[in-house]
Amino acid sequence: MNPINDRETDDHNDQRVIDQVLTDVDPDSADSLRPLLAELRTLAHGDAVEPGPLLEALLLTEEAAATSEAPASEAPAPGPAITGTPTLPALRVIEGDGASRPPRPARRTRRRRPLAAALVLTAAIGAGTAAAAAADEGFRSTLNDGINSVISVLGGHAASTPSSPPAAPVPATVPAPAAPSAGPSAPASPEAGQSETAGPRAEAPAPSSAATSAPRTTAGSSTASPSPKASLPALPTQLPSPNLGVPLPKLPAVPGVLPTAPTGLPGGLH
Amino acid sequence: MDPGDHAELFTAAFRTLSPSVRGYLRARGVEDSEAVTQDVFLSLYSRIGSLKGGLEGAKALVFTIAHSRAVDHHRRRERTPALVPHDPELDSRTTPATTEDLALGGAGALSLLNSLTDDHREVLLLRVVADLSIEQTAEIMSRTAGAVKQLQRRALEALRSHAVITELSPS
Repeated sequence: MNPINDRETDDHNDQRVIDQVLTDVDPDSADSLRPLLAELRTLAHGDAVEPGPLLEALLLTEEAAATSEAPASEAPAPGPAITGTPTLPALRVIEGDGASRPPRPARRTRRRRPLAAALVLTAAIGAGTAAAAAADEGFRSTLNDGINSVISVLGGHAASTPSSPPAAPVPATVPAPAAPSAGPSAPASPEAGQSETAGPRAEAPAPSSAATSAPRTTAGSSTASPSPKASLPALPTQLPSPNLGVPLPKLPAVPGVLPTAPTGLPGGLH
Repeated sequence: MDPGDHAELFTAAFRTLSPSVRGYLRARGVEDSEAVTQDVFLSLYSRIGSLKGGLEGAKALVFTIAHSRAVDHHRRRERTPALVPHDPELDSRTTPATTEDLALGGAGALSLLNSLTDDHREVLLLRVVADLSIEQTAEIMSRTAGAVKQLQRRALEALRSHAVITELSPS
């Protein structure tokens, strides 16, 4: 547009505005006020405000505005390369307004964020546990003890209901040397192993011999220790346990003592 | 109105009204008038979907937002500590004068406006600088049209009397 025409338009517009303001004012006052209002009106004609980056993204370029305002017949006019470039800012503005494509990746990441956090947390816990197991010997031993205790509990329940052979492998250290040693001690030692785990409840329905009654008293002495006489039969049962597999030759001497101890116990108890 | 029309209207409103909005804010004493002008037009963009009346409606809405920003500015400035006034005699810096300074420097229109009360200054700025009608000015100032007419008449009398006093006073 021609700047001279713009100035004429502005002057004409300023006169219109001032006339509107001075409609109800008497002519003498209006003549004195007119230059003051014209000076005030110059406040509306400063330089154009330079738009910031955010505001510039919202504005159409002059070329894009001209092409949008121009009718379709003027579009194929011979515009060399200048008419093609304004479409880029216009497209950029429309993309900003649409707001349909950009949020999609953000939503996906928001939905997958808890899953990723759970995976990372699980991996961290697993790595920490593995490091502790590799570094600490006690951790592994306690873990083995825990597994053994679980297996023993499960095996104890299984042995109490069907039969004794499944319970024998659990206290494998104690009854294994006793089994090949002698005939009378063989039934005593597995029952002693059972008394440590299952207690006298499992042996109560089988009061057959004196050898079976002896472990019952030892189990009772180990838990409550009612009298000093009851502690005597406990000695032979404790002797093999600390030595485990080493004092195997001494075991044959134990059955010689064992028959005496059970005979003394019932007598002492009765 | 489709988004393309919104963009065209917003661009036309910014190109047409931004100088007068900046002049209005500057006359209201807003310090960073250019930044507040951009803020005003960003607020206009968020409301342009519900705008009616084309460019004339946009003008009324823009100056409504600008009026609110000026009121907020003065309220905020009342709560903040008073600034030290600038003394040009002691300032050795030199900057080029703006077109508004050159235009208003001789007559002192801004100084005349500053001598008026807030309501008188506001009604003259909205009527002369913003080119709003009596009804639009009344809506922005939350007054009736008759009250705005009366206020404008008193503002013009005050402006003329201050101009006479300024001319008679020795420079």
